[in-house]
Amino acid sequence: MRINGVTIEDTFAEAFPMTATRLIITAADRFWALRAAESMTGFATSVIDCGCEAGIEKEISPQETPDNRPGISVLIFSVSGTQLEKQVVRRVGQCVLTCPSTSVFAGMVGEKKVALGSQLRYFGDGFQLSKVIDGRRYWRVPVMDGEFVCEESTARCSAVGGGNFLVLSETLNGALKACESAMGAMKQIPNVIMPFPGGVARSGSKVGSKYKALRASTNDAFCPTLRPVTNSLLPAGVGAALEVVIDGLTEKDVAKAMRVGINAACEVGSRHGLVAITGGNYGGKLGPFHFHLRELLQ
Amino acid sequence: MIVLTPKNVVGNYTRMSLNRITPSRLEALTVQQIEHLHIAVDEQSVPLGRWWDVSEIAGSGLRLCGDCGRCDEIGGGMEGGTLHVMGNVGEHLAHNMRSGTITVDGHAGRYACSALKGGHVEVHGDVGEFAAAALPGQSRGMRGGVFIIHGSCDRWLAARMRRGTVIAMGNVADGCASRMIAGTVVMAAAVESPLGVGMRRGTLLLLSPTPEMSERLTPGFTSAEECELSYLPLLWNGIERYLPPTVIKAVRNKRTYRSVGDRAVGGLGECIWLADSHCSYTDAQSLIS
Repeated sequence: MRINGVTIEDTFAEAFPMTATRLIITAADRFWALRAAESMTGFATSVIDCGCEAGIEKEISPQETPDNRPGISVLIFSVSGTQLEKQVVRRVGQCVLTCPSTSVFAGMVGEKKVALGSQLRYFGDGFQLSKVIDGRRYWRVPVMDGEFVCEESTARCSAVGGGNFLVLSETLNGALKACESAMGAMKQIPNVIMPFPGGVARSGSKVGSKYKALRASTNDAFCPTLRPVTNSLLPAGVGAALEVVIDGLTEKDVAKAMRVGINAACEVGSRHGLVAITGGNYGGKLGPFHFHLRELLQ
Repeated sequence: MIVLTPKNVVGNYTRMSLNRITPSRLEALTVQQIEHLHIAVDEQSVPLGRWWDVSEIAGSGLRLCGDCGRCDEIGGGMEGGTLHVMGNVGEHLAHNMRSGTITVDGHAGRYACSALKGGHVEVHGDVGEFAAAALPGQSRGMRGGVFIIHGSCDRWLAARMRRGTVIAMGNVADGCASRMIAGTVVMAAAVESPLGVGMRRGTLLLLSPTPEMSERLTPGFTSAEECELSYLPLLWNGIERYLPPTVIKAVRNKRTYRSVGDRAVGGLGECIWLADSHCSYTDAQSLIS
């Protein structure tokens, strides 16, 4: 299968189950809402060592936020509800509570809860106030610029982490161009984030390592410099490979983002030496979600 | 829809309880079964059909026609559905109501919504003493839901109120929010002091305060200061739909002032005023002069 002259390899990308939540961060203006969201989702590229994967989903207009202020929607993914709650409380406490003028609200509803204001309220040292409005409880924590408003809890749901595709190009520049094009298109898709810097990882990993302490190590089969000394999976002429990683609330969301991303990458990449698109296939060892590239694009 | 109309019968009664005569309960019964339900009239258990004509018309819910001023506990135990009273109601309106909607076209007696736990109650007339307040011997008043009063409120509105929202469109008599524990009381017209005596927590939102309000507020409240409250837009979004456009227009672009109390009991309740910038609500100036 070829799109714009780019080969779509007959393989599948593996993804694994996660649990996720959405938060709405609002502030006096877009600048501060964005600063808080960027800070909160920083150092959250991979659950392997960050504790969670997080990213900005989209900007929200004042008409759509609970307090009629500019808002940012962020998605946070982790391996368990306990771990997710730990990360959410830490990140909101250190990055949103601290950011001037911000408030934070639940971005989804559901039975399974993730603590938010119920934990953070203690920062108020007894001066915190709660308020129930339309059945939702908010905590008001006095801070130096007024008050920090935080919803009691948010909900969490089952999600899919680690959806991916690999961009194989003749040159690094060509691979970057293809990825940038993919990112531009995928950012428009709701319910997904691309947690790595710019949405792209150059250090794609394989499961396991020769060193026992490591759970993952460099994906040598896709490293151009190791082509002569390893069982390389790089086609001839490929000089650089980059991996686009996607976390989504459902399998369908991840599939949609992959489809849109691959099409966008092929459209631009074909003019810049893009050779092929493949998937992170670990022989079924990584997870139960298998995204067959050719099926996605049909 | 089930319609109950008072019968023109010989004899009279002092008080009647319509506790547990709820829309969801009646809609599951036939007219004959409803007539045989027992209600308390002057502490005697009698069939409902002795005092009420029961009929059924198109639509859903329950409607009480005529004056029910001596009928207590209307809407008591409601757990959904709609109840429309086309006249006055007696005491203990919406006793232990958990959800649903009650609309009263007339006035309500004492203890209206005192034991409200959820749902939406709207009284187009006046309400008597202790509305949303704790019942005698109880430590907590209204515990949830929304209670809207279009007329005036007699004394002790929201005394010991625990949770929920009260919106008073008309004048509010003295003693409002005494020993209030939590919740929100919005007052759109004149309010008599003292206000919030012994208040622990909760919010009093005054939409039409007089410039002298701070002078007459309970002594245990702090001097009012202008402030920006991040939570106010949330509260405003929650109550805006219940307020008439004239009130909404009147408070637009007004400044927010806040006073905390009752500090005499260590309370952290708040009284918030929306007022024009030229109004001075702090006593700082008077201290200087």
